[in-house]
Amino acid sequence: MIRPYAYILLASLVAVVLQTTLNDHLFQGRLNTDLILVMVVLLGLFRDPVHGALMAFLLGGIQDYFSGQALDGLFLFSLTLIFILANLFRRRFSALSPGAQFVFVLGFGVADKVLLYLLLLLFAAPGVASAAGWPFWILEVFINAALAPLLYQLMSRVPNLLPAGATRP
Amino acid sequence: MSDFIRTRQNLIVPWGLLLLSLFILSRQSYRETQSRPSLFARALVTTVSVPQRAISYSLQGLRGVWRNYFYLVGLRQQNLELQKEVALLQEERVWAEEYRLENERLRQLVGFKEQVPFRLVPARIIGEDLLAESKTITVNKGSLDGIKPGTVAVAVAGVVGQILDEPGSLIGLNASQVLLIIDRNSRVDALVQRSRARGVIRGTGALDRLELQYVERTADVVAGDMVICSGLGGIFPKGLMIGTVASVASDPNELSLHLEVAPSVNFSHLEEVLIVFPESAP
Repeated sequence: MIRPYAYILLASLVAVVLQTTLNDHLFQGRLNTDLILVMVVLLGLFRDPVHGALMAFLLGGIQDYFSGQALDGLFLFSLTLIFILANLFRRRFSALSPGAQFVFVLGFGVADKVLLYLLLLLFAAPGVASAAGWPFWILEVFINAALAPLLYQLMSRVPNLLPAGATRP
Repeated sequence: MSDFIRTRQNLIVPWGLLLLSLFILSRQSYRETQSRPSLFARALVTTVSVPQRAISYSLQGLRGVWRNYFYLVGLRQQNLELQKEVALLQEERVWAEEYRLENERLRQLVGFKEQVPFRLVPARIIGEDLLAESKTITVNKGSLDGIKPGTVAVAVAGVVGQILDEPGSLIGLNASQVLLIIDRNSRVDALVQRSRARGVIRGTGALDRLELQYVERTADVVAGDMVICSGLGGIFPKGLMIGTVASVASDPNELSLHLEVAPSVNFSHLEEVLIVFPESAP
């Protein structure tokens, strides 16, 4: 029961390390690929609501610790909400094919960007929310979506993390 | 009661967590006072810093090799024999160039260290933050190296930022998150060096632009004036360079000038910083 949480904690730390080091070297800090968001969408599409939500909450908390001072609890809220929204699709659509995973992560990536912008606008100090980087956002969302099938393959190999066939309609 | 919860746990748990996160989010907006970071947060920063350091160092080495070596591999097609020699020499040159650049930077740092009345300890940048709206970096020095809340980081060109030890700027055992002066949450009490006009430097989130706020409309400030730390506030030592005034605008309906400042530090090319310790510190 506890093992999937340990795996997801480990995976989130790996994602944080990669994102905080590789993004700067590969994209000169202009693009921030978001592996944790991809993990949360996949959890939403494949996990049960109770354990999946707890994992998304854990992932959001960890991402907050490495996201500077913009707003505490930003990813805690956004990733939990993204999980709940993705989970609504779990029994209605199949996300087993790479194409479906790409489309779902693309859609939720856009939703996440809009949500983060609105949350910063509502809760952060004036001037923090900025839509100036939107051309990069689109590119980031596409990169995240392209990474989804790969991440699914990795996550589905971890025992009990993404129960197989959970999304069959 | 337990049956009620069990049958509805699929709704209660996710939505309960969402409400809890919304509560945390709304409670901490416009933070005036900061809570102390938890032990978990410190442990997390410390744990993550180990692979961050390894990857960061490897990438810096690889980048040097890539820039100086692989671009020249095309020569091999022209003359294989000559290329073997070139490759060997090139590899040596890559590392020599890396050492030369590092040496140059360190010599600048040492020269700078001799000019300032503080103890300065070099630190390497091992990570950035995950949110584009935030401007923090992770350096390879932590509480074991004597980092305390309020510790300041500088570069040869001027002020880089400060370590607060609060959410978003944590201190781990061997790594710390530095809040850069270009972050929108950063404030530095400042002086225009020539006219001694006082104001507060605020980050804009852009790498190349700061705002100098609360400078009286009648103050004598022109583009090109140097802006330095005033020393007030007790965090940033007086006299450290912040930047130069890039533009001055005045609105008759406002009490303060609109001043844009170009930071003296090039934040897009930072690789090392100096941590400022008082002379008496360990």
